[in-house]
Amino acid sequence: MLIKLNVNGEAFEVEAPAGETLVEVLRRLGFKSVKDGCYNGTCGGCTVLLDGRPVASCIMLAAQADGHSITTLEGLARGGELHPVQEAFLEVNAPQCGFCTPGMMLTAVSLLRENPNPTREEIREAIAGNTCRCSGYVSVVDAISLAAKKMSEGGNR
Amino acid sequence: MKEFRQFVVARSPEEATQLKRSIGPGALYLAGGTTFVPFVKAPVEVLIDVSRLGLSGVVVGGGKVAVGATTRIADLMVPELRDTAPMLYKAGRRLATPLVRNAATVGGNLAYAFLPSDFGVALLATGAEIEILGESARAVFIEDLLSDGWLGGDDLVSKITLAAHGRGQGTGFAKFGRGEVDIALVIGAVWLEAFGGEVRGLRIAVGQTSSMPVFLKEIADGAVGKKVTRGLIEEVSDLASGSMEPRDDYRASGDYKKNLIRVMVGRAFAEAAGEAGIKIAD
Repeated sequence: MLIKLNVNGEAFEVEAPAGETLVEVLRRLGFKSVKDGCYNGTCGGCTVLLDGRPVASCIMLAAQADGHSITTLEGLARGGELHPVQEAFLEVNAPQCGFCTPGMMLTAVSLLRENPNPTREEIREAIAGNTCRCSGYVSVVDAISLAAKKMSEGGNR
Repeated sequence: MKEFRQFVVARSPEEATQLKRSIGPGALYLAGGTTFVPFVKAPVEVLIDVSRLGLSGVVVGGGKVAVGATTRIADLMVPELRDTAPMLYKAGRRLATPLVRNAATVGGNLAYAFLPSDFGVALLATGAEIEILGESARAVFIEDLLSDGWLGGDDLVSKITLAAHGRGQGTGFAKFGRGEVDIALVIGAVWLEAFGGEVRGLRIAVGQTSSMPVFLKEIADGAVGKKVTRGLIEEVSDLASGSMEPRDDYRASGDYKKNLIRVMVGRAFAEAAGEAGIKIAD
């Protein structure tokens, strides 16, 4: 079936079989930051923002996202300038192997939009669906705290 | 890639139920899909997307809380519902992870009331009324739906209505499992109405120990009129555990689950008593 998706502000029309998941279609379109990990919604590597909210794109059919807006990691930087969440992850060296990082950052962007000044506990709860097998959670929480600070001090977005 | 042959977006509840009737068992309703998409391995002829029928949203008023069937679990976790429907709030907060809660729906979770459903248990304990559309359109209390064999045919859950939380009432939701994303081993959910420290009304539901949630009506009714004490909580938990025979499976032994039933019902009862403002005496 023909599916219309708005990915990072760009309109796509893509032919997808009924059984194709959203992560499969996004990767086929070239958005390789969206990782296909567990395929059962456990690891969070496939996190994208669907109408601004983080979802696991491996347990959603592409057809379910028809007509919706999607943000992937590729959509965070604007005009070569990193998003404050990306800057913060760089500054504290939050990525280790990096597999979970795109999902972590998207979840963080959504969290900080809803709650610009989260506690460490609130951050931990928000990223509960994003598994880091390097177990580098402390630096991820540090990075999201730092991003919150950057954004409240007049950072963009 | 899943072996789903056709995906049809229903534009109205009538269209959805009519399509379901015309195709029969080969067609299945799909809401959030967070359980269905990953875990169904068999080929499916037609999926009917029921997430765009205007059945989402929460309305609080007139002493009731009405939740549209395709309301996302994440949308239950709002301060208003913490006060008016604490069981929904608590069950929502314990369901999987935020990524799943942003897609999964209340009605979808309920309709799959067999093993993975948390809301089947939570709603059974609170005594929700379930509105169903289709050829046999009806509104039915959840315990009657359970004893009638649950859902079938073209039944489409459209709305879930609860009495708004009132004074002297308390709810408890105790869930135990390997991790939050895994299917729980045992869930105990308790709704309590108390007056002067005595039980006026009690509802107990246990989940994940058999194919469907279990409503322990007689045990709960037997506690009415008694003072809420540590001893009563232990007595009720022992009776609950003693009344069930969970089977051994790869997740845990039956004996282990039996003990967990005792502990989870006890925890949920104590939580409900606390929420009802009762200081539990020995």
